[in-house]
Amino acid sequence: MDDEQPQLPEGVLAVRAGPGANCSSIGSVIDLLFGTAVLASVVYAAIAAALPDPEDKK
Amino acid sequence: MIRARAETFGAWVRVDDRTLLAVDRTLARRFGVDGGARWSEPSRGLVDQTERPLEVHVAVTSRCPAGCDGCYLDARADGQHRPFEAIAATLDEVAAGGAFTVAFGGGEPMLHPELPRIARQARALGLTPVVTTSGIGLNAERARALSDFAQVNVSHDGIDAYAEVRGFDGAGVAERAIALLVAEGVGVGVNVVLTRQLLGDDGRGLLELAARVRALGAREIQLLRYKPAGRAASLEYLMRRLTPAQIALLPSLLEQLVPGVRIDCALVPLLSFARVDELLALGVMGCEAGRGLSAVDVEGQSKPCSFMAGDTRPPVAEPCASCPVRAVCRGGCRVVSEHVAGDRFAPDPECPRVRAS
Repeated sequence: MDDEQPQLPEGVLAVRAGPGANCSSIGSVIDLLFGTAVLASVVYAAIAAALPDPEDKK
Repeated sequence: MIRARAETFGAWVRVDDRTLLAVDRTLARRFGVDGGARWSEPSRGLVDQTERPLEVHVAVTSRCPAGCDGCYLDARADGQHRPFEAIAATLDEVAAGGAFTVAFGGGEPMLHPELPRIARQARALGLTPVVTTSGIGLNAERARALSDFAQVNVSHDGIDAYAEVRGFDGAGVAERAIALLVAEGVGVGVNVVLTRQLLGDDGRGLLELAARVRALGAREIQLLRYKPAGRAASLEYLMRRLTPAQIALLPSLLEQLVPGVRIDCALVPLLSFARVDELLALGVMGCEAGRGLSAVDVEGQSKPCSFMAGDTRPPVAEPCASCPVRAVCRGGCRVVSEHVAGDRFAPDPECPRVRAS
């Protein structure tokens, strides 16, 4: 296994990736444990896309 | 559409169909969450906090003609569909309870005449619907109507092992279903129950199956522990469960299968994970039954998970009590303990640490 810790975005305490599958599952944790860093970048992108635009509050 | 639920630590936030986040209060505010009274309480950890389901499994039918030997629901060809109105009422309750994902199962859900309508109803309530199927009853028209599902998972238990394990040769049906769904642009995962017959001596059966379904377009493989529930709660279980030697192979097999592989919570104790803090940070919280997970059976009765009713508290006996992995496995699968050890509150008897104690 890769010894690097997954770097999640600031403020993110945990991430569960994937939509689920009628069996309680632990998402893409397995990918991360084996050194696949893709998920972290996916989380960054998902947050950026989902956060309200500050301009909308003006 | 963002769906959020305030917790003392901040909030759970689903930012899209594939990403559910636990965030602190600062980030939760940026998502527009108002914690109200919950944020006046001291922040509690994720594991202690998750006492309302994030995901609910809903059985839509007990009908299935396959007659698999190990069906955990004991589904039958003359089983009954749950009426749409009853399912809609359940979905109202699920949404009001703050869950994010609703996973439909059966029986064979494709046989329910109103499955697409059920998915639309879930979407209308802000839930993310997914469904698991054997592929029976699926055709191109039906596949096209499943676009409201975030993912459709097709069960496939082995190219050669399927018939031996299930007593029903559904491998071809499953592969046809995967191809049909992919052709219609529906996201497909594949559920694989790990059995002695599938893994064989070297795990090659699992790797060959993964290669086959990925070639057909499956984007994810979900590995599941074989659970002795329903018709699988028999002596046959002992002939189908993984051997200790096969359990020892699992980490290596997982490494060969990433990326795009998931495991269920019942498999956690079988893996020699040492990095507990890391797993906690990634949302692994052990047996989810009655905590992050609940289920509603075809009669409309609530249960902690699809496989078991009643109390699913974790074991308090050694070696679990002082085990460093306890926080992420919670003593393993209660269904296995009840069947094999005769005591659902006993440590999971197939856990390598329990066997070594």
